[in-house]
Amino acid sequence: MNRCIITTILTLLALLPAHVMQAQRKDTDAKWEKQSTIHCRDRKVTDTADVRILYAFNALDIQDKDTWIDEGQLKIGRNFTQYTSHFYEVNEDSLVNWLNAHPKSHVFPPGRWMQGYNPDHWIEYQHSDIEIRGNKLTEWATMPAAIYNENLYYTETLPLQAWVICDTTQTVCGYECRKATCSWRGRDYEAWFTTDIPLPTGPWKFGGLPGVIMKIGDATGTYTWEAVGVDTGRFPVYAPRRSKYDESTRQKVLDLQRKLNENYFKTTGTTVIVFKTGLPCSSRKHPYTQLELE
Amino acid sequence: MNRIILTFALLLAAGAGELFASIVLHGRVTDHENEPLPAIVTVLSGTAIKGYGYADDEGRYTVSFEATSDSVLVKVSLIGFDAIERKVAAKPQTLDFVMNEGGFVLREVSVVADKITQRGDTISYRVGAYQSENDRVIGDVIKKMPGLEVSESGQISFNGKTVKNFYIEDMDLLEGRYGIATNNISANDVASVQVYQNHQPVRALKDWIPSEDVTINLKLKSSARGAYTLNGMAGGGYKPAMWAAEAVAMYFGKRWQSITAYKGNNSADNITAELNSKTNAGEMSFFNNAPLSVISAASPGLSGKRYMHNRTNTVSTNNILSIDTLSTLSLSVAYIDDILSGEGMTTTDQYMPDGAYRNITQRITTKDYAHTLTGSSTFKKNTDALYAENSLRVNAGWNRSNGVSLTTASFMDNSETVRQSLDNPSFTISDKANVIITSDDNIWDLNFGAGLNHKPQALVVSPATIFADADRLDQVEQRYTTDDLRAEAQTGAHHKAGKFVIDGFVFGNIDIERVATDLDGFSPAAMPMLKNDYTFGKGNLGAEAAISYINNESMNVTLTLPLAYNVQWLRDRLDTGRDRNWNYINLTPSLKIGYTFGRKGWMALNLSFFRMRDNSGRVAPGIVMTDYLSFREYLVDKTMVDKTYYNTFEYHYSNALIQLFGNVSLSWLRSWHNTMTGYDYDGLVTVRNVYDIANKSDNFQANAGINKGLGFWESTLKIGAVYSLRTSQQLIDARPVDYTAQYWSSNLLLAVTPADWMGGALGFAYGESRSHTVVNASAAPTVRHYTGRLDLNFFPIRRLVVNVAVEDNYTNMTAIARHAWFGDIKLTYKMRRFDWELELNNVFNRREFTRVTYSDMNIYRSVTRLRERNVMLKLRYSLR
Repeated sequence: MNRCIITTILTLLALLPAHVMQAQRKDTDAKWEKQSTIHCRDRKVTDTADVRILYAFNALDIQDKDTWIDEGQLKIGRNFTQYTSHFYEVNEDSLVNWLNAHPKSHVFPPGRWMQGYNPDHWIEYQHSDIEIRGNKLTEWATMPAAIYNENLYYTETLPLQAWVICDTTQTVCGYECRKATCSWRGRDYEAWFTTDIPLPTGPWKFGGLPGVIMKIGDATGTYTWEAVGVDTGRFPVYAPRRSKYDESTRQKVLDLQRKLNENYFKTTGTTVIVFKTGLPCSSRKHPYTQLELE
Repeated sequence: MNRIILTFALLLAAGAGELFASIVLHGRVTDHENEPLPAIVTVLSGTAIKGYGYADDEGRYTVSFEATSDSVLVKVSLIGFDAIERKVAAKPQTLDFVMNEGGFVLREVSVVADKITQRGDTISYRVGAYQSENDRVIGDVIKKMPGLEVSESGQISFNGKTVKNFYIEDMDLLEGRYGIATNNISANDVASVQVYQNHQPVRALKDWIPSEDVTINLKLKSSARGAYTLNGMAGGGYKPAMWAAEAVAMYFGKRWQSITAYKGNNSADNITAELNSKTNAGEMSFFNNAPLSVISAASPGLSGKRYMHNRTNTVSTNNILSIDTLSTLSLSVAYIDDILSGEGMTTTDQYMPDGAYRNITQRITTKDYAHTLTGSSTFKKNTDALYAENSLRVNAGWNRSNGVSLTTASFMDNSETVRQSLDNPSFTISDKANVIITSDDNIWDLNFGAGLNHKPQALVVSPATIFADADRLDQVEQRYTTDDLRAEAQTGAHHKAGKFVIDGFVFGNIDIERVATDLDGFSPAAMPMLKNDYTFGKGNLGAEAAISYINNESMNVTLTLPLAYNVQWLRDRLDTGRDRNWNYINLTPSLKIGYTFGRKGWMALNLSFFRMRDNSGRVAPGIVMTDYLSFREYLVDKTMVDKTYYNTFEYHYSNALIQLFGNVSLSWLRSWHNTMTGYDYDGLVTVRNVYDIANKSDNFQANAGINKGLGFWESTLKIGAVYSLRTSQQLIDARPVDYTAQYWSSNLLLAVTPADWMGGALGFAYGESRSHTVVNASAAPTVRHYTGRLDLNFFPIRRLVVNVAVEDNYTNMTAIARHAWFGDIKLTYKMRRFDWELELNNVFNRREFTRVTYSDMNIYRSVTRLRERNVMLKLRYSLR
């Protein structure tokens, strides 16, 4: 109990500057590659999940999907979990229907059904798949348009958060949840989990509590997930969206993702003509703070 | 629920209690076949989790925890299996668990809607999906939602059905005056607009009385709940010198809601319409009417902003207090101080029996002064077992109107200038109560209401010389005072037997009207009957039996058989010899069949027959001047008998998933009357008479509408069409003439948001109407009109909204200027708490507008003077 109070106080202290912090938005120059989505008809189903939990990622207004960075989906099946973008999957499902309805068309609307804030823009938390099997976690990191063929993946031992469970409760998405706190890879987190869904998992790379994490956010309010839907049924689990991913390490993938957000043109060696000035631009910085700081 | 087995085997070493561990539990979790299960094992002390662990691939678990009591509760959970809870001593030990399959069902939950979602009969529209930068209040967004329509008066309908209730956070704050909500609640404060279809607002009647009513509920964002909001506006403009001001305070809490507003302007923004009830719910219907009026310029059918010349102040407050979770007390008061000036020209082509028309032209200026005070208080208790409601309403008005008209006619040598002045006060008070008590198989229902309506009118017309029979030169005066005392009561019971509900009611109602009239200024020799002073009463005492088959999943059928003893009486104070009583028996059966096609549609067929016998039209022997061109007299001493068949069919389709809503309705009304109302022309004056001529009329009407949310550009398409056909007879110079009138119209609205920096709406309405008799079947003119409007909104920078609107109104019935173009520009610059609005109205500076309409066989052309080009600057602010 004492440890819980101390951790809560530390979290509150960390929250003090939160009023000047803002949730990470998707405003950088990086955009996702759309043309190759025409291959979505060839998506490979690798497994089937029985439970799906949908999360609003970095929502400014939980009732307004246009303010969300993404709608994440945690698919839970036998021996595995997979965290991917539900917005992206809905777009691909819709595109498959469109392509089937227009088999002779030479053009297609690749991102028409993409929802959320700045739907054309790229951020790794929407365009990476997190797969957990046994005690292994694999991140399939799909890269933005300028380096769309340089996708990477790495596998690490399932990272464990050292949770402190508190007695505080609140209802999230219709489920009674308990509070737990932890520090992990440079950030302090507050999570709300429910023992009514007794599975030790959660969004992105979070888990390890005696129930599903329904809501989690770091102390600065930069990254948040909140469950918005719990569904049961049979949900297809697709293989990573690109055909080619090169093996890498967590640190290399993190570094590249950070640089892509901070200065997309410089990182990818791209030069563009800026519409407003008419001048070429090969370097432009954007403020960005990554989730995993260590 | 499929069994889900997770092997987070090595993840399990981590445990919260590990650092403090002093006691270790271990063991194995299996099913009845000794197969290992990867369950979660949690150790609790009270409600606190002391430690937890997970069973591995072999079902083995270890949990470490710090003991704070002698015993702990061990809980073993796994999806697909019944949870096990076991209280054990807080000491190191081995505990094995065998789990039973089944029982655990995961609750499916969704807290965030897509653009439109449907759950049962509730359709939810996410406001953010339809809102653009140009939308300020929630009414602006509702107009763009597929399936929802907003009429010119602000009345909302869903898929062809008029909305019966309008709630905010499920509380009935406004009781029908929901324009206050749609015009004042910020779109940014509303999370979703919910439509409750087939909504029975009385809990005690749920599953007893099927309902086709539609209710709208505004679901507010959490930031707007429990917060005080003050919105204000101040503005000025030219030309003429204009001003506008508003202050609206709002609070929406769990127990109390309130909207209090002051609004005023002389800039023709219609601020009184929002105070009118759109549903008439709870209002008592009085049968007396005040017939005197000042002839004014006809409405041009345009937005009031184009032609109204006003000076208006309104103050209103609406409050509702939740006494407990199912009881509310509401109080509303509204005051209107309004001066309306009108100016225009009306040309009437009156149809003559020979197929020709005679022509009367009036140039009219009027000024209407209105002071109206309304108040209401309602208590409601709405539980599953008991519904109790009492509603008290008071309405007082001190209204008067003045007018001057210059009249010329094809049959007159000279023009006549006529002055009119009308005093038109009124006072109404009514109270209605309803108690419903429900038990398992029976419902007892009691309704009671009583009210008084007092209207003393006086119309002065000068000079009196326009009337051939006037005995003075200066003026004539018509006084008309009517009082109606009404009381009504109904009680009965509903009994349920399986899927059948049997209703038995007894009811009674009584209306007593006292009328005193006096026409001063005419020669008694020419007009012997210049006064009326009588009491006319009518009452019903009856019983109603009804049987219903109710299957909410598919079909509902109700047969209703009301039988009433009807009594009417006349007591004439001027001639007691005319005193009479009438007694009748009335049966008015109706049959209603409803059928539901799952969630996607429903249809209803209504068949009804009415036979009404009314003597109110024969009780006033004295002539009444209703306006300076019209006199009313009754020459037939005969009971008016009307028989009516009224049949309707409607079909409604809704599919929220594909945002498609459609409806079709057909109606046929056949009436037989034993008398006819006709008009005699005596120079300028029209005399309204009732004649002893039997006749029959048929009215057919068809309506259709389709609303579709399109999958691109956030667009919504709304298409509607109306066709009506009426065949009847009309008395012209005391001769019945067969005539046919038909009308059709169609309308289209397309709202799109093609890019972040722009949005737009294209509206188009086309209509044709034509009336003809057997005499002029081929020569009668067809009136064609259309209105096209294009609204474009640009958002060049985040804070700036540019709105450009162009509108064309066309009619084929004028020789020149068949097209009337209007243009408006509005710039809005948004700051944190302030918005600046700059309006440039009537850019093309159009000064007159011509409208042509049919009424029976007469054709009316009105030319209205419009407000000239003007500019208005407004500052809006919002405080919370």
